[in-house]
Amino acid sequence: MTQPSKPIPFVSGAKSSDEGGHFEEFCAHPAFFLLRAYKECGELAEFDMGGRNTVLMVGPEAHEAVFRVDDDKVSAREAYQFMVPIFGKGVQYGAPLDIERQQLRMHSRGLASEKMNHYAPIIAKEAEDWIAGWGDSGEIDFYEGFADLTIKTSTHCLLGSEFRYSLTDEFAELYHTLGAAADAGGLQDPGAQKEAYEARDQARARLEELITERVDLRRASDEVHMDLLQVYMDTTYPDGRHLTTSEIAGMIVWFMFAGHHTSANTAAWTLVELARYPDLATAVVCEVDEVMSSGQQFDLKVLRRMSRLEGFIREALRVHPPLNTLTRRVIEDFEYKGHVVEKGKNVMLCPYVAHRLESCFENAEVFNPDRPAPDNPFALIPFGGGQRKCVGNAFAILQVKVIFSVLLHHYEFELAGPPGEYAEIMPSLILRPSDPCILRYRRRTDRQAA
Amino acid sequence: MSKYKVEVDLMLCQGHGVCVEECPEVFEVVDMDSGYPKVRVKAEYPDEGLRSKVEDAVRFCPNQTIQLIEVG
Repeated sequence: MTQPSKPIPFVSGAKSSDEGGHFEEFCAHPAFFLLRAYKECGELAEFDMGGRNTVLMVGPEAHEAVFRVDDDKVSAREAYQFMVPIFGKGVQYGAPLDIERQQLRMHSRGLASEKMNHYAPIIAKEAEDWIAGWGDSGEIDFYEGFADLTIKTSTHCLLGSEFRYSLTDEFAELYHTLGAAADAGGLQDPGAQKEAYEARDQARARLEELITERVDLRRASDEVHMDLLQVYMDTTYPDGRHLTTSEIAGMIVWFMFAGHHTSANTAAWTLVELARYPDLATAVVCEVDEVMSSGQQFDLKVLRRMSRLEGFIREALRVHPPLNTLTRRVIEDFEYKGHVVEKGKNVMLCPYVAHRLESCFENAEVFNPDRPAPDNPFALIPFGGGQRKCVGNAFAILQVKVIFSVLLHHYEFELAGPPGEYAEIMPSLILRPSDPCILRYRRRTDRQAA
Repeated sequence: MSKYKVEVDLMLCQGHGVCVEECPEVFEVVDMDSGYPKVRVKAEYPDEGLRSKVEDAVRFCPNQTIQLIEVG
């Protein structure tokens, strides 16, 4: 005996399907649109993404249901096929599921705790090189500043110092071209789209050339490096096969896409909030000074225990999560609490909305770095969850911690404009601070120079 | 004397290995046939002397995979 499916409320304000339904309002600011949808409809809210109906699911129980359902029933890969030409065929969603799972294992090996002991000093060195040019005081656009810094840290950890110091500029440009094509889906002009796609394919091919050169050089020299490239070169599939250079290039682009802007924006928001709440920041600075003076500042066990700094970073991720449209394609009718999301539709989870639920976060609108972790771990989902959770989550937190250990030990920061100027914008699918995101810095005088 | 038990939710584990760094006496990470390497609990009912190390493994697991359960 089957019960009839409970209806799912439909968000108001849709244009006709021919005119894109809610697509235009969604694209203007996905997080704000989804918040409106939740406020109007509640836990489940259906809307029309230009012919593809999508159901926003909100709350820890709904998140858990999506994170735990089998991939072949509610599928990330089907929803993200547009990424295949960017990462390349043969990796992630462009590869069969069992191959993709092996590739995730390879990322995991490259990001495991014991590897990160090697990455922490590299990240610190990049941050130190950055501030070496700052002088005693000044103003910087930290949106751009952190984007630039994290390109350097990522390239350095990923591809090693030879690559980092010789090829970062070209790499950054190629990567930027790939990124522009990821946004091209939203372009209305088919001509512009075609151009972006052509540039993307050229950039992808050149990137593969660069990686191939690097891999060939390494194989010829027999030198062993401690970066991710080495992990990708050494690791094998269960049948003993190594990754091809095309797959290695794909792994690198995949890693960069997942980790670069997301980390840069998290760092930018963390700094904005530190500057906005100097009283709360004091405890973080004390913790940083203690760790930086200990001589063990890049020991992972010590970094892990920097709870004040971590509280700030996690609260910045709660209030300003970078990724807000976690999407899955429903392959088999998906039932949740008596509602049925029919096959062919998408489901979407939105951390920006989830993190504002009063039922999970008391005084959710208040920035509170001392906030206890929510009772239900599926309430806080800046990195997603389940088997598809961002495997770089620990690396991301580590990276931001190391950067701030260096910055806060030497400088203090304040907002250069009125607090309202630091707005949440979403020109692509990533939430970020509006730019320029200018903060004033001054060399600290309260601490004896080391 | 009270005992405690260690439970892991393997669906959440991605083999980060933080638990192994915090408490190698109880945890190891092993390769699986497919997908992520996963934690393996070597001692389901660890010694009382390891309790604080197990608590650190629980606290610092990036995916909140591990639970410490009091069993009377």
